[in-house]
Amino acid sequence: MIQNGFAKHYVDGGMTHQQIQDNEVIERYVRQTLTPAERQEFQEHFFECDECFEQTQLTAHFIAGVREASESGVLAAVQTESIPVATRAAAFNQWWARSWLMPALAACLLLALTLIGLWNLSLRRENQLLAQRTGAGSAASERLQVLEARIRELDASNSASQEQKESLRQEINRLKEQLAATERQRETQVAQLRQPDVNVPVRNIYPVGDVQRSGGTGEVNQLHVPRGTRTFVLILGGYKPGYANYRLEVRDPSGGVVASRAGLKPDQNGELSVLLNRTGLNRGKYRLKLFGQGQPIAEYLVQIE
Amino acid sequence: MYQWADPFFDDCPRTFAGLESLPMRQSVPLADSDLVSSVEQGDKLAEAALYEKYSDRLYFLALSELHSREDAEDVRAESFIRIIQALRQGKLRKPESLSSFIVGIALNVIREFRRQRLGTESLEDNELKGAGDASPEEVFLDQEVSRSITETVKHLNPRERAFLRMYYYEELTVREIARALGIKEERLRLVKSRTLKKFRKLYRNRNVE
Repeated sequence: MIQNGFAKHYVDGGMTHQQIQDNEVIERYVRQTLTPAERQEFQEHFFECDECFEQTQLTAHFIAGVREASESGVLAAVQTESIPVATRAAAFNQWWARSWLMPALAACLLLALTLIGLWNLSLRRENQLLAQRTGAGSAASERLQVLEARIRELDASNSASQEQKESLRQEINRLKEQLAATERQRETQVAQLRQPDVNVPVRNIYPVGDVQRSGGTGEVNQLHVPRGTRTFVLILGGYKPGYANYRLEVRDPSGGVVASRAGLKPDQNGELSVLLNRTGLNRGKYRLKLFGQGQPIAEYLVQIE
Repeated sequence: MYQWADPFFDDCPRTFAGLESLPMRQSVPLADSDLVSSVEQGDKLAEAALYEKYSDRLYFLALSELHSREDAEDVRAESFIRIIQALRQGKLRKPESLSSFIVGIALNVIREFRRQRLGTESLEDNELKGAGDASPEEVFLDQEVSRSITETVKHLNPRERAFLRMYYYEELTVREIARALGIKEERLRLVKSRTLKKFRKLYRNRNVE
């Protein structure tokens, strides 16, 4: 039977031209895609219906004409160049999506995840530093409470000498000042952390021995890091190339490592740079030691101002 | 003879032994029931009217089945002989089923023709296969119509021409055509509709001019 209820409509005598058009029966008849039963039913219909007969003839002529035009080359095979730009673009997009878009997207996603991970680590480190400072403040606060309790006991018992009481009061005052200073520093750092990190300073530094040749007046690289800066970049001049990767240690004047970065690699211009957090690097002098595969290869003296 | 205004109809032979000389009764078309009863009573004018009414359709049916003008003409002649004989003998019980009756007889003749043709071909080693016949497409066309369609097609844009070729000639699936044109399958129906509409308009304008 003809699809979509065509035959039923016809058998019931209710078939309309609209239904024939909706089901593309005429075209399917000419293209011979109706079943034999459907075909006969439609033939019986166009024997009664002038309009359908005329449409069927016109469709047959049209399709025959198109086929002949295709045979003769008037309707040439599809050439990509002849299809409008929008269509070609869509086809190109499909090809593009299949060929390298997906790997590229995957690489971008991986890179984004890596950057987010590094940023997260940086935040965690800053939080740890803040927690340490806050912890120091808490210890001082506890010590202050103990001393205050102790001086109240001495006042009550009247057993302590005046010198002991004075000594305790001095210590209390010192602890209060320390607490206040810690609190101010913490507030400043919190305020800095809340600021967007823009205009990251980039500074060139030179190893010991090269600083004076670079125009400096001493061996120490003077770094003026603006207030509110959370991170800054150091371009390490005069490093010895040829290593697969490098490691940098930042040591304070006492020799303690306050920061380190591993896996450093020169960029495409051959410059070796490192991103450091301003947090934890207060004003002062630092010694930066650069290692290439475990071997010390350069040393930088830096004065942060 | 009746003059067809539409060039599409010009390739349909309209001669039938004995009937072409009879006057046509186009001005007063008879209902099928009247035709049937009149033919049963031996009315020659009714037979001519019956031929005039269904001749083109029967020829077109045979042409679309056999793809040969000569064969279609033979089928039409043989079918009408059988139809009129059967009507004269009162074999059609329901006059309102005349269309189905005619189609049934025509399809039987076509089947017999095919069987006969098949036997001849096997005997003569396919010598007759396609002899003197046009391709399935060509049987529906004459030179004027073909030229007109070709010229009209040239005025379609590249995408419309590509669609016509892929859909009607290469007979690709909707999915294949959509992929080749770089559009969604749902949109292809719209492309088809617009292409055919544009073609009709161009064709009509060309033939009016």
